Amino acid sequence: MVSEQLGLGHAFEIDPETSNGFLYELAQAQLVREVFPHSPIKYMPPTKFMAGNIFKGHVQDTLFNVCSIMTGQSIHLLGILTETIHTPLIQDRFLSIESARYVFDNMRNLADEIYFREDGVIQERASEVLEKAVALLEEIAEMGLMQALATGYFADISRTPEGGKGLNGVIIREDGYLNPFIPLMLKGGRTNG
Amino acid sequence: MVDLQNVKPYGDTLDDGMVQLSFTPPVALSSVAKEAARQLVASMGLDEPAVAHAEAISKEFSFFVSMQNVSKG
Repeated sequence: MVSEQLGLGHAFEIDPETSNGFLYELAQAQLVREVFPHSPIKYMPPTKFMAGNIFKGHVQDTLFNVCSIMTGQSIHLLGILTETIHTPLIQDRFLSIESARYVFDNMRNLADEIYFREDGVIQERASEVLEKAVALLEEIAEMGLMQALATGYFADISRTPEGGKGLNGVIIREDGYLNPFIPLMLKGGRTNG
Repeated sequence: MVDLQNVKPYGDTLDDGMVQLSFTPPVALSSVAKEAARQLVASMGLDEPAVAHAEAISKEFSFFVSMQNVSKG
């Protein structure tokens, strides 16, 4: 697939109690944007550190919105202040959209006006994350993807070739089975459209 | 259909009457304070109060966020 077809997701998930946490978020968001310049980037809001204090949650979501517009993320998932408490109420959805519009419009071209100093915290953090990612990918390349999955290299979750769920949903195809998309998919190709 | 003689807040579905409240009693945070907060909300004529957040502001003040619904429109 071409990069334009390869969507990549990441999230604003640093503990809000972390000093300079926003700088680290900026570093990571900018890094993802620069490493994958042509891929649609799906940027997801904080969830792990959202709690019952909906006002603080709204501020966390605002920082997430700021980080997103400052780093040109392509697909922005809106955070909602009450999402950890109940199905968001209609006014919560309204507030979330209103706040994102406010931030995106007010800060629209901020990214064009700034750059990050070379010896600064943000650049250093981005380099550190990038180096760690490359080292991890090299380790994975050496041991093989399946082994890496089984060892829990991805998000500390272990998935073995024999484990998992869903096998009883797998069926043997009838002789007359037809799915017109499969031959097209297997043919591959590296163009859009 | 919205009953215009009996309009209730719309939270997630029509007529669920959902209301979000925040308030600050001038008492320290404790389990007693949490229960008092819940009862305070119930005394306002609101149903099924649930305290979503309780935090100490200081030694003498606590902060609550609660979710509940109105029964009367």
